[in-house]
Amino acid sequence: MDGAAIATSLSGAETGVRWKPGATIFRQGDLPGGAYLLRSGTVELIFEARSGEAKPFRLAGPGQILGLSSVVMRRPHDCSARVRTTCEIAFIEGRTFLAGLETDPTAWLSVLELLSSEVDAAYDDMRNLSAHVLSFRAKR
Amino acid sequence: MPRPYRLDIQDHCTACTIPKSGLFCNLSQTSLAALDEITFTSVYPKGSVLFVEGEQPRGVFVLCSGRAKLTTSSSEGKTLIVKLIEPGEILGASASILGKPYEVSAETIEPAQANFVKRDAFLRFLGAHADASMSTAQQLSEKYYSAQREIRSLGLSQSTSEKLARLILDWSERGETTVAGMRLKVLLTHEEIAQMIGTTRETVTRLLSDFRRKKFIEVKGSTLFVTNAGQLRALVST
Repeated sequence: MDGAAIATSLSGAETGVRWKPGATIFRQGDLPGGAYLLRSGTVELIFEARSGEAKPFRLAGPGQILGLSSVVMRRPHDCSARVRTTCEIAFIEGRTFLAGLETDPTAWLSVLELLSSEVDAAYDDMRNLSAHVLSFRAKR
Repeated sequence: MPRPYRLDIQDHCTACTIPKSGLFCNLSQTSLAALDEITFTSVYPKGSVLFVEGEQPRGVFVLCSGRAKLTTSSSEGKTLIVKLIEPGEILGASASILGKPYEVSAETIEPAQANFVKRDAFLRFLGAHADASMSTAQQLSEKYYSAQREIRSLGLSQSTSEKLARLILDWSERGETTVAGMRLKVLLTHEEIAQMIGTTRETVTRLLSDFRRKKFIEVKGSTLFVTNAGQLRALVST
């Protein structure tokens, strides 16, 4: 089961809403009302510093669920999400999502696979970024 | 009877006498009994490698006592510590769930009991016990959060003193309150602290001396006291 199938199974979210490039889906620090299934288009994930500095660090594509870990942890979003190319996005209300998992335990493994992929992607970014930062420091 | 590495070894989760602080320790009795059926009790000395980055996943380790570190290596061979693992956490879950090679290496940083569960048995266990799945999802999300925070600190223009201050503040959340300040046991060498914040050992030594001189912290052997958390917080900008 991919992200789309899980979302449809747990929330009945068959269709999504169209978002235009530049629109902000959620902001870093916002409490998660739910997760966002990206059906088409691309979204930029951005870190923002208090100083105002903003840095895109990853692109999300169709089939990905944005904000999934925030919903699971019931914690504020750790980054912002901004539409890069026109998207169709289905919103899955957090409580509906978690309640759906209680009644459909078979969906759990798919959710764990999605979260595991997010962890792997984050470790990959860490590896690449640390190599870049350390080699930059060594050259200085 | 002699106790290996002076560890209080627990053979059964259902009869465990260690204070249950970790997410995986707080499963229902039914789930813990099922976990007991598939778990191999194992103890390790400090410095034991549980699995290596790139290795095919054999299964997961449930850390019962002691601590471990997760590390990764850049293409240039630099080591980065991505997370410290506390008792009650599982290691190797994402690789085992995805059936892909381990993304990180895991090594104990003190004597530890780390019970092994074979991959197939772990997946069957998750499929049958929703509370274990929820706990695993929370642990994966926590690892994701932790990794994202490192990426943010590496990617945004954060100074090394900010990063070190943030690391000490993170540790102090699990410290012990004393009259001298929050007390922490630091199990990492300066080299390993450097691997956690992407800098050199010399910089860590210099910054810790600087923090001591400014009376933000006090260090006695491997014990660190946070004497002025407010000043450390003031250094952290993100």
